[in-house]
Amino acid sequence: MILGIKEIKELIPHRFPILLVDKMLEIEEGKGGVGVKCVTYNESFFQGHFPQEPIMPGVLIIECIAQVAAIVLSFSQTGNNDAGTLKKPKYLLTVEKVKFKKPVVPGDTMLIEVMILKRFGEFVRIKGEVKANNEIVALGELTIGGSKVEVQR
Amino acid sequence: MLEENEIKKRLKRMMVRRLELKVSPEEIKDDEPLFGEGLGLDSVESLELVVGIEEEFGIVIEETKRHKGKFLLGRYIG
Repeated sequence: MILGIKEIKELIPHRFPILLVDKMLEIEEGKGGVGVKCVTYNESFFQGHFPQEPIMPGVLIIECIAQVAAIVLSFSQTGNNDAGTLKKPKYLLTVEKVKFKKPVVPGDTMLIEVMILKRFGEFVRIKGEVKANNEIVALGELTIGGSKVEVQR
Repeated sequence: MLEENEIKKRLKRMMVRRLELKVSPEEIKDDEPLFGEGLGLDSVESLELVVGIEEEFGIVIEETKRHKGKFLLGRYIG
C-alpha cells in the first residue's frame, strides 16, 4: 500500500508550509502506518534553526508523527482513499514520553511509524517512532481528538 | 477474581502515578467524583485513565460500553 502526496492531500487538510508527510509506505486500517518525510536544506526553518548547524526542530518531528496518525485515522474512517472529501482537522491533545535521540539533518529521510494504541470515544492514543538512517531518532505518544473535541474541565 | 479492597488500592495508586495527582492514594475517597469538584480531571485525562486501568488490570474497556451516571470504578473492574 503506497499513498503519494496527491492521495495524502485528500486525506488531511494540511498544506504548504506545514504538510510534513511526503508519502505513505504502509497503512493498516485502524491499526497504524508508516509515512515518509524527506528533509532538504531548502526547508525554510533551516534558515534559523540553526544558521551554523541545520537541525530539524523537534516540535516539527512531533508534528510529522501527528500528521501520519491523522492520515491513518482518516483512511480508516473512509475505508478507502476516495477523492473528494477533505478531512477536517484533528487536534493534537497531549504529547507524552517524547524523546529525541539523534538530530535530523538535511538529507535525512524520516520513516515515521505510527501505531494506534487505544481509541476511546473521540480520543485516540497513538505511539510514534521515527527512524532515519536505520536508527531511531525520535519516539513518543500522542493523543489526537476529532475536530468536535474540546478539552472539558 | 481480585479482592475489592485490593482493586481500589491499586486503582488509586495507578491514578495518582499516571495522572500526576497532587494527593496521596489514601486521600482519595472511594466515591470521589473524577471530574469537577472531585479530582478535577479533564476529558483527555479520562482516556489516560482508561489506558491506565487496561495496563494495570490487563483488561480491555470497550468504548461502546457507555456508563451513565454514578458508578464505582473499583467495582466495575472486579
